[in-house]
Amino acid sequence: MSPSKEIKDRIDDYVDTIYAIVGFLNFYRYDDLTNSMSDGVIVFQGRRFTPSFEKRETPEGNIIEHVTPDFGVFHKPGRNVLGEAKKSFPRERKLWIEDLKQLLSYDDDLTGWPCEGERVDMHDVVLLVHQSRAPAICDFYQEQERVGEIRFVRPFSIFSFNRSDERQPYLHFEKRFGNLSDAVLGERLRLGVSVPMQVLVNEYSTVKLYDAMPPLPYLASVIWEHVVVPRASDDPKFRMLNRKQKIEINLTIDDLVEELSEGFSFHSLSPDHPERQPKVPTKDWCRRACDSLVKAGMARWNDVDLRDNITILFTKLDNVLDHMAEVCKEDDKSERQLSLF
Amino acid sequence: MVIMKPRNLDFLAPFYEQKLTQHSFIPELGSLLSSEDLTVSALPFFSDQDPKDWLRLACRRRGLLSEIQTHHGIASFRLLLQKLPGNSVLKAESGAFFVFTPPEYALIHLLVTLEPSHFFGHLRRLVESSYPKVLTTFVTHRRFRRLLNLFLQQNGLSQLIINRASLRIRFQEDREACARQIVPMISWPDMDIHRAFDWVQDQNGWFQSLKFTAYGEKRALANISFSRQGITRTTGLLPEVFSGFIMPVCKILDENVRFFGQRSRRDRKDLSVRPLIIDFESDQVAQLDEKSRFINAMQQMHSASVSVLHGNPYVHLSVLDYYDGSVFDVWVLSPSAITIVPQMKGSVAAIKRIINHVFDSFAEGRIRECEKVHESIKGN
Repeated sequence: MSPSKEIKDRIDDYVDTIYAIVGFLNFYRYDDLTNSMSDGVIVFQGRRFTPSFEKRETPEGNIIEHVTPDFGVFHKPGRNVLGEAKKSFPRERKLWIEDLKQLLSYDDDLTGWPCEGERVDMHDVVLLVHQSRAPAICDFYQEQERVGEIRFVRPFSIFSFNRSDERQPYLHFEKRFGNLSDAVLGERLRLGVSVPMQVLVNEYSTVKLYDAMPPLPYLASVIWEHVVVPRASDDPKFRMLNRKQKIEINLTIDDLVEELSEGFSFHSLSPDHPERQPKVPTKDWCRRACDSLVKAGMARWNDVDLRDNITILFTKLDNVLDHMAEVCKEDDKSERQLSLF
Repeated sequence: MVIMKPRNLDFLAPFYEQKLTQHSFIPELGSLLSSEDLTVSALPFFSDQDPKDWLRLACRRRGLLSEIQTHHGIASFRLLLQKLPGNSVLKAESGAFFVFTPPEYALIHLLVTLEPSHFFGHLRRLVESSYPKVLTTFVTHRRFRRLLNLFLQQNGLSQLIINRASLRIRFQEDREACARQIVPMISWPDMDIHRAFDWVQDQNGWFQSLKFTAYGEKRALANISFSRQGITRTTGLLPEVFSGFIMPVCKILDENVRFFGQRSRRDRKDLSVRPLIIDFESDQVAQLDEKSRFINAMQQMHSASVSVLHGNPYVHLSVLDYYDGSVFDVWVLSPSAITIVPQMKGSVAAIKRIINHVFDSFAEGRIRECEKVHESIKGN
């Protein structure tokens, strides 16, 4: 596999997870009876919840400050959901228990819902996995439940997703295990629902980042195209700039986080509820992407110790993503997660 | 020092000094054509600033621009082009032209001149060099044909015979190198428009410009040329040419500016997107090789970065326009359509350029709004 293909596969995994989350949330956002967005549905991604007193301590005695589900829906009793989306699982089956235990931490009277008092009476817990691993994950869960390792109090269900490669590409969702409190939606998903990608193209074009570290070349491309270029294009030299010339752009890491969070994260789906919502991307990810640019001579830190302030040397690139794949190649290697399949 | 060679008889100079009005402009110009062996050249363009302002700016390094007069919204100018190192003027020359703003369109203007074609070429380059602040349009092949048909029918003409055609053929034999297979051609077909359009359609091509003769019952009435850019030149039938070609181009420009405008996400408080769809009449991007051909075609876009985020089964490109920094997500999520999503900045000029590129290098389609189509979510 060429490095470029390998990187593109990881970008694919990253954006597929975004597409799956967006698609699943849309089952709650969209009202099929009225063919319009449902009133009062708030969706979120990466929101921090405070555990209940009973669950705020680990068996080892460590205090858990917060738990962060991948996604959530707040609507009304029976339609409140917290969930985790995982396209890839570790190769070693025994490590899966950690993922299930993470889900178990959402099976709690959590504080942090976007409502008065920040608590709800009941919510569902869901796991969204890629179709290829769904049967194995369901089996594993049931085994762990039988031996008493895992037991959910709240409704728990497992859904699979996969991208179909037919004439019109779509994402297919199907319930594999358990029940949703919303029985109508649960039944629809038991039979399987296909969501054409065209339907969600607005969301796919807006949400480019979620609260998992993206592949570095992808993040560097998003920074370059959506933060650096707009600033460079304000410079009168921009249009006539030849390939060897550069425009210096001063940026702070806060600028990067702020602009990408506002314009290219799940923030755009429910912008009115920023509380308990850490900004995505994080400063740390942005610094790492900028480090790669600095190493490639495309930028320089103005404060090497803090790495808060950077000067980007903008130049016109023929293919931003391929260029960033090359620039971030070494740094990206060290970031890579192990044992994905 | 520039020495101007006086014309033997400059009967045109007084014409540019006449007090013309919006209503008398075209008839007066037309009557001049019928009495003299002259050609009127017109170039419609969009500018949201006063044309005088950008003209002064554009002429700054090319020559001396002097305003003759402005009367009832019609401004006339004289431009003295100087021979300077590095510019395209071979010798000092001078000419006059009008800038006319049709009352129907506040931001659409016309450059009109009676000067020879090489002087008009300089004016055209002034407009082009002011891109993206000043925009011309593109007339689709389908519309091009419709305008010619209407012109023929509505004016009781017997036929339009094409004398010279500049065309582009999209060769597809070598799909890997498809984008380089756009072949420019010039021909002198001497055939009527119906046959010519049928032929070019069979060749999977389009006309860049046409020069044709309009015939009445017995004789030739005018030699006319019309380009995809909306540039129109004629030796006669000016009122008919004005209403048959020039005003429709103004309308297309106005429609483009309205339809492509306000698409930047930063134009809206909630930063929402306003995508556009290019709809093809048939499945143009269904097969793998068609998608590859589309990607290759897009990667040939000049002064742009085209990154491929996904190539098959769906296509997702990120396109960055180096003229003004506009950025687009381009998607192929249907066998017969392309979705263009302007990001934080998606200027009218850049939208027009990307659509024009798709039309020229891949296939023409109809542009429409991208509606939400949630009803198509279905259970298996």
